[in-house]
Amino acid sequence: MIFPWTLSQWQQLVQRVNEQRLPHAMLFGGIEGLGKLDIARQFAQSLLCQQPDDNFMPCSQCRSCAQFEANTHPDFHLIEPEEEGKGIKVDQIRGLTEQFGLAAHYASYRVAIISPAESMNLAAANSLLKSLEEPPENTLIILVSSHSASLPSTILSRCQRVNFDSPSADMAVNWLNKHHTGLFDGEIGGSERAVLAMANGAPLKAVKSVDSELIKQREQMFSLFLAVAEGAESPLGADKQWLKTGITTPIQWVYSWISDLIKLKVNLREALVNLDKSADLQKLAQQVELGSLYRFLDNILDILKKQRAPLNTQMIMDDLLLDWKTLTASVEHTHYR
Amino acid sequence: MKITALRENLLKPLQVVSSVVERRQQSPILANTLVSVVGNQMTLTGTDLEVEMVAKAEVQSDEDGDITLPARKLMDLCKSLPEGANITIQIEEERAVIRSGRSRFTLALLPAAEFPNIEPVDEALSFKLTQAQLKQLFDQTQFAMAQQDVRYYLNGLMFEVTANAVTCVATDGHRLAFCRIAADTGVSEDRQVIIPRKGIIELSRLLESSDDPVEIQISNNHIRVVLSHVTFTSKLIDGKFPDYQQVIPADPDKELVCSRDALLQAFNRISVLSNEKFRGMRIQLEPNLIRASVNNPEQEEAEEEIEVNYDSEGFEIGFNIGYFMDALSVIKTEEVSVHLKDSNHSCLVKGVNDDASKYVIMPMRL
Repeated sequence: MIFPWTLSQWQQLVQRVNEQRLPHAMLFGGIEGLGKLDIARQFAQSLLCQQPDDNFMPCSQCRSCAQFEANTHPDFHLIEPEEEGKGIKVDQIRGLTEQFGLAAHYASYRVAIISPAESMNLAAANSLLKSLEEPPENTLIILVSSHSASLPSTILSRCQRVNFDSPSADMAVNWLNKHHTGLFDGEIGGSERAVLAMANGAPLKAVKSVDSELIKQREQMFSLFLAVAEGAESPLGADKQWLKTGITTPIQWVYSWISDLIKLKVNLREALVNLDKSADLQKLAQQVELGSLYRFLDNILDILKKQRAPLNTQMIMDDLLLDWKTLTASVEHTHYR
Repeated sequence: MKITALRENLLKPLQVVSSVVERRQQSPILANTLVSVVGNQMTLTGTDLEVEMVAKAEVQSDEDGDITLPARKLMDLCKSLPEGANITIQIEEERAVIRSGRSRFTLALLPAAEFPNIEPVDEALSFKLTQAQLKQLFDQTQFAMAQQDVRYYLNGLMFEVTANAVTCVATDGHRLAFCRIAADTGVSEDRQVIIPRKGIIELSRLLESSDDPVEIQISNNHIRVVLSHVTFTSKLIDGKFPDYQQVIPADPDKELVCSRDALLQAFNRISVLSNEKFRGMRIQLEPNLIRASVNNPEQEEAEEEIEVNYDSEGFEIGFNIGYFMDALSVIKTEEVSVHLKDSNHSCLVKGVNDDASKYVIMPMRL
């Protein structure tokens, strides 16, 4: 299935096939949760299909499709980390290169998908270079990456980029309601925008992150965030028991609010992620200064980097909120003078 | 579908097919064999995606059909049943029930449409050789194939067919083996392909020194060898083989002739003390005599003097002793001739009065 927000990318791919200008290597880039891998697989199946239809969708009838859907197609290679959370090993890439040295099994295309491409270690990436440089005929390598900036530049320069963007909030909410009816029923009804914001606007990630507890936590965190800014709550006094479950996610929320504040400051309203909080954020934006927002953002990044160290979560959060307090208070102060 | 067969009729084809089924497969279907029944003939297909083996068996069946069954398990079951046993295979929805005497086994099956077998190609180039001819071509050359070389086109055997000859060449960049036999193939266009190492090794196991004909079909991506009891298909290596004609020295002016056995045995003895990693051997040529010597890092030494027919000037040259012995081992004639130019040029080894096989060995700097 082609997601509505990937339609233009899909059409672009089909056009390249029709014009016989398909490159040998492509990089599907964009944030997590946009269905890049799904599109890559779909495209692979269509390329291998014996009779794709007019819209270049696979027939799901021919032998090639049967084999593809059963994961037994000999000319399709999906390279993923062997274990969840681990990297793609050099031996996996070497195996692929070996396959490319041999002739194709059937007469059509050969496709390899490497996902997530950034999980290749340096040795794996280097051993892929040879294939990216001198690919065999009728072969397509698709790299799928949500963090393409961390790929070596030697890889990046050998791939054509296909960028995927988040859909508009309306399109995403429509899609969520249409294809995942019942997902937002009950006590979390109407929280689509909040969930989307938590997923950076990526609908497929939103589907996975629907969790009433998390939604509630985010609300709590945001009220605390507001209360500290208004001076109604002390950064140290607040009850933060609910943070026991982990603070990485709450800190990431703060990060996304701060970046939204920056966007408001520089008049980029349309790029706002936390649409459900836009009114409050707008009010806050008048209370803070752009320079200190940037400094605060750096602070948060630092904290996120240190997350692996066994630090006291309560103290980190206190520290963060104290900073936030100073940031908002100082502006108020100058304002009064 | 219900299939009935004698144990012996099933076992042989199953063993052939299972030989290419790897123990650790990329996907479950590769552990299976494709079973297709047409009339009284059952065709079994096994593959590891690089090579494919198809064998036939006589069976009785109530209808035609295709299905895949676990290859090794089926073979092990057949093997463990008593000789002369009758086996029935009943195909049900998702299971195959196998009965023989008082034994009953249930195997999981997978749909035939998911099996990646190789389609027969129409525009294949086709010709016939005898088994002995093909075996000779492979035996004389395959030892020189490269192994896991980054130059992937060397990890196989070049197979070239012209209207009146078939040629095989293997090289790993340090030595080269060449064998050409005359054969009236009747092909209309010359064709050169590279068969991967694995295909050559599997195929060599099937061939016997008999005059039975084999049919060879070459398509764009595959080579297929049809023997009486089995059809073997291998993928080809997608690459260009180096120009071997240029490698075979054209103008060696010095010729050395000697007994193959004497030379091989002498090399065999001194190779014990050669450097295990580099295997370097120094050969000093003098009129009618060569002196071969090796040493190893422990400063141990071996030297042999061998009587030869040689009447040119003396000089010294180094070789990898293993390469030399490999070539000598496959030469069939009693006497061998070694053609040299000087210590910087490769040498040509071949049997005296035998122009079918030629071996080129690069010298070593010692």
